[in-house]
Amino acid sequence: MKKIIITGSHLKREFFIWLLSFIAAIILNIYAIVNYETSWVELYSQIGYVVMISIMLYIASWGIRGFFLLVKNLISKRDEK
Amino acid sequence: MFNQVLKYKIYMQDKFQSRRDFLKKMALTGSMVTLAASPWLNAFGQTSMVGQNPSERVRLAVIGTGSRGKQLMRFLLELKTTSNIDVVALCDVYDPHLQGAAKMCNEQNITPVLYNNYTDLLTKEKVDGVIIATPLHQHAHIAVDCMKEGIHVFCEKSMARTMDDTKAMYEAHISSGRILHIGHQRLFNPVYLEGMKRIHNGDIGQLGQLRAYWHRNNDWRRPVPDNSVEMERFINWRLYKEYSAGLLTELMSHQIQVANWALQKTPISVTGTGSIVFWKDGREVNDNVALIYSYDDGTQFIYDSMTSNKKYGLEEQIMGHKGTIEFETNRYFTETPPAAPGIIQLINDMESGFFGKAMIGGASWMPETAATYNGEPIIEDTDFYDSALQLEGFASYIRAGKAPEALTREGYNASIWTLLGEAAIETGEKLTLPEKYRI
Repeated sequence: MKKIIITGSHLKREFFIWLLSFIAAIILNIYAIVNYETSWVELYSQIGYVVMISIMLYIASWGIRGFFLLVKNLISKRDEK
Repeated sequence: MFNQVLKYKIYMQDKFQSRRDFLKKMALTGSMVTLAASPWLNAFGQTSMVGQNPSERVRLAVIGTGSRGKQLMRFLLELKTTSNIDVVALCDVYDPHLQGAAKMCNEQNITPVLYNNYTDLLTKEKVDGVIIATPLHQHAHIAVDCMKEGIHVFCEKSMARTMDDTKAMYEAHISSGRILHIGHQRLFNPVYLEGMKRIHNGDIGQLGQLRAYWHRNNDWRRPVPDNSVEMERFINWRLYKEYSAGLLTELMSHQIQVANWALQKTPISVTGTGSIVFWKDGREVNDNVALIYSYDDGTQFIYDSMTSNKKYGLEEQIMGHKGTIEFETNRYFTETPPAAPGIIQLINDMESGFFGKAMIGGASWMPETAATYNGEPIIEDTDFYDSALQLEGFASYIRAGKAPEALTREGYNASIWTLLGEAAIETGEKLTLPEKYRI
């Protein structure tokens, strides 16, 4: 059985990606407040939704990264041949 | 069975608030203005303690000790100390009811004198007031005889079986100067008091329509001992026209009172229809009714009641151009509800962009269904029994020797217009109130 080793740098990278997702969700919330002319209180009152959106973006990033990894692997296998 | 009784007792204790508890809470929540806005609550709203002297004790008798009579007695027995009330006599022509009520008193170490005939009670007992909870057709002659004897009367709604009897009760009240308090407990209900204050202040704008309904899904029958034919009409008096107008006098009379109270006027006409559509079991009263009451400013009160479906239950909806009040569920809805948070609107718009909207009946038509909006409570604290509060009110009026006239007029107008509604259904005509019944 192949061992999967999660290193400190892996964790740091994942945390950084989630942080980017969180910042993107905050920007989305700010855009919504401006666009729908609602209260700035929602910056923190809707933090639960912001966190949920950040997790969804983070999960979406797995899909995107997986896709690029797949393409990268296919290209490298073709070059080996 | 024992568990059920125990649970009921605990429930009663949890929900029971005396006038003083209730007033304390109202003061804390800044709702004393609500009390001041209701003329019949001036005497009731005084925060001073009720005197405990025997001379200040209110001596009451209960005439009619069936299910409603016993319910009122439970409150009286709860109030006996805080409101200095004494239940000194009970009267009922049906012995099982009388003995059941006597047992309730005995459990509280009270031994009222028992009567089968109310005239004996009036002759032998010196009481300050009576609670009348007999079948409807007996209200008038008992109430009139009591008031003629100088006794104050609390009478369950509806006032009487006929319009003439209703007027006779009112005239006896005027000529004797005795209190005639009709059991419309919503007049003492803090949800209604606060809601009515908002309506009368114009908070929900101009009223256009009022709607009310009371839907049940049962046959409304009570078990008759030994299935005796003789006892059928006696026990199930609500089902026979000689004694009751059925859904109208038993249920609607409460709700037309709320409509009149909200509009601060009485209707100018009524039209209606009704039928026995489901319970074809020998009953004479309709099991479904629909009526429209019109007021002089064009407002309509639209009413329906039935006993073969209970999905919608019970409600009074007061609809103004700025908002709606639904009393039974303690809800206030503004016509301009606060917008959803921006982030939610954004998500909804993105969803609509992705999935589009389902069109029904053509590309440009969408069903005009109500937006999902739960409104807000009219008041927060609803731990009270309005029936208990109104009995405390009755006791305080007896001590004062008089009750606000508005209280009697509310009961009278509700009863008269209920019975006129019955006549409108019977005749199939749009009816106005004959001049002789105006007060």
